[in-house]
Amino acid sequence: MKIHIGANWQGYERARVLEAWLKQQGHDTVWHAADQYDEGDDFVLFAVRVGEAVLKSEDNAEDVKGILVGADGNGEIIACNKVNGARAIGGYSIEQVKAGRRVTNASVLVVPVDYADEAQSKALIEAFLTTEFDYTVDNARRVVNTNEYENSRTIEGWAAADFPKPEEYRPAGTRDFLISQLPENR
Amino acid sequence: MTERKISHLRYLALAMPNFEEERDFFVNHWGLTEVHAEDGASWLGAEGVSEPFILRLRKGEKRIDLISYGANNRQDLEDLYAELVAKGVKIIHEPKDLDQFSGGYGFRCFDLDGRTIEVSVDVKEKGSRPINEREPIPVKLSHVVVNTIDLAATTQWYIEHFGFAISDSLEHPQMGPLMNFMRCNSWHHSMAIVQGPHYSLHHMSFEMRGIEEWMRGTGKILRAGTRMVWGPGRHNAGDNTFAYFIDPAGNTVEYTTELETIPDENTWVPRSLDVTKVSTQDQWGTANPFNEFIARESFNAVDEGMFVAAPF
Repeated sequence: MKIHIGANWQGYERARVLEAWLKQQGHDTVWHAADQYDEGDDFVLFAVRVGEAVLKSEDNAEDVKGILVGADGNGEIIACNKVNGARAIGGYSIEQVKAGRRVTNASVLVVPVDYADEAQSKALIEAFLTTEFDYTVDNARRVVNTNEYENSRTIEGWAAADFPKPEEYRPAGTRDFLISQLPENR
Repeated sequence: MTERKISHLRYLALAMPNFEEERDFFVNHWGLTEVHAEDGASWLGAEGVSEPFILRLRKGEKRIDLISYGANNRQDLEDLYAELVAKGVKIIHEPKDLDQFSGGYGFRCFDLDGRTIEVSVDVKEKGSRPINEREPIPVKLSHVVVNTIDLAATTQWYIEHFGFAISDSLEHPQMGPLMNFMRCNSWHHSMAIVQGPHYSLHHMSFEMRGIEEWMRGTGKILRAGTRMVWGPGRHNAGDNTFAYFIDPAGNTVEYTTELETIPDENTWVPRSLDVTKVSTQDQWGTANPFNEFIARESFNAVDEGMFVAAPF
């Protein structure tokens, strides 16, 4: 599989270890970060580069994934998902990563060194690379709906403002997700 | 059922003023391959079929230039031609060696409404390859849908003259019959006819390899700035996934996959489905309902090419 890798200075060392490990397994890795450790370098450029490289490979019909390594990983997820068509998730547990593949067809995994040691990082990546999207029409539709919103600001032709209001389609008595309704915020 | 002498849908030929834009859209974004080009015209093939080309674009006033079908063999083509002549069909040219790209032998005539129809055999096939996993390009032309002002008459004409059969229909409780899905082989439909305000192209549909490729193609075409007018969803009639887009010439184009086949035509019972029930149009029940907006998009501009033979 082709794997695009990126990391800021906080993830640099781990990313090099993971790069070597992936190469050893026969993957075709492409490095998108600094050539050498560069203290204080920002993750945004690398996150965007990896997202763009994954999209380009997807359009070329390649079997491809992206891996970003950072501190807590949150900024990388946000930045990478600004790339039109990228689907980046954080790696915070094995099951959560598997769900990210099965349900959302995640194409980029962000490994947070603050929360995962080397062995855990490898386990997260392994779960990411070996779990397939489940190809149900419901999940495929959600991926396409998201693509559509990203490009036209509509979902199935509707602008968000035109959608029915929650109270119009949510049956009475169902759970309300407003933060103000959570017990600790009442 | 009369013996069917045509075998399959070959290609759709269209003309549009913004030919360059349309060509760029289909070659660089939609995923077709230019197999031949002349000044102001382009012949586009699909990688997954050996058909020499599936779409021909020509610079000119917007219209359907022609819809082309294959015949089973030369004898069937000659017999079909003789039948059409006997039935008084308006002929454009009799069977002859075709001097167009990919050659072959065939004739052209007008259908009831004045669309140009070509029937051919022995065209020079281009060869094909299996579409790879993940490739976001069409395998083939799936079907062509046209608008007519008299659904019943046009449908009956295709049944009587070309041996098409109705696979399923859509109807509206007040407006009556709206659309007939027509087959000429085991595919659920290769052509469909829609009741519209005028004659025009309703849409053209391209088949993708599977749902992964359909997703990738849809994502890719959205990123190219193409507007999706309906979908994604899954049709009840034909059982195919769908996503409809508007091309630069204002035609509706569809990526579809998994179109149903009819294994035994003798036992197939056509269904008449009510369009006001969402599940009729969209098994997923989630695509925006087929509404007047979508209908208007697919009316398309009035086709000025009725009973006017295309220049080539």
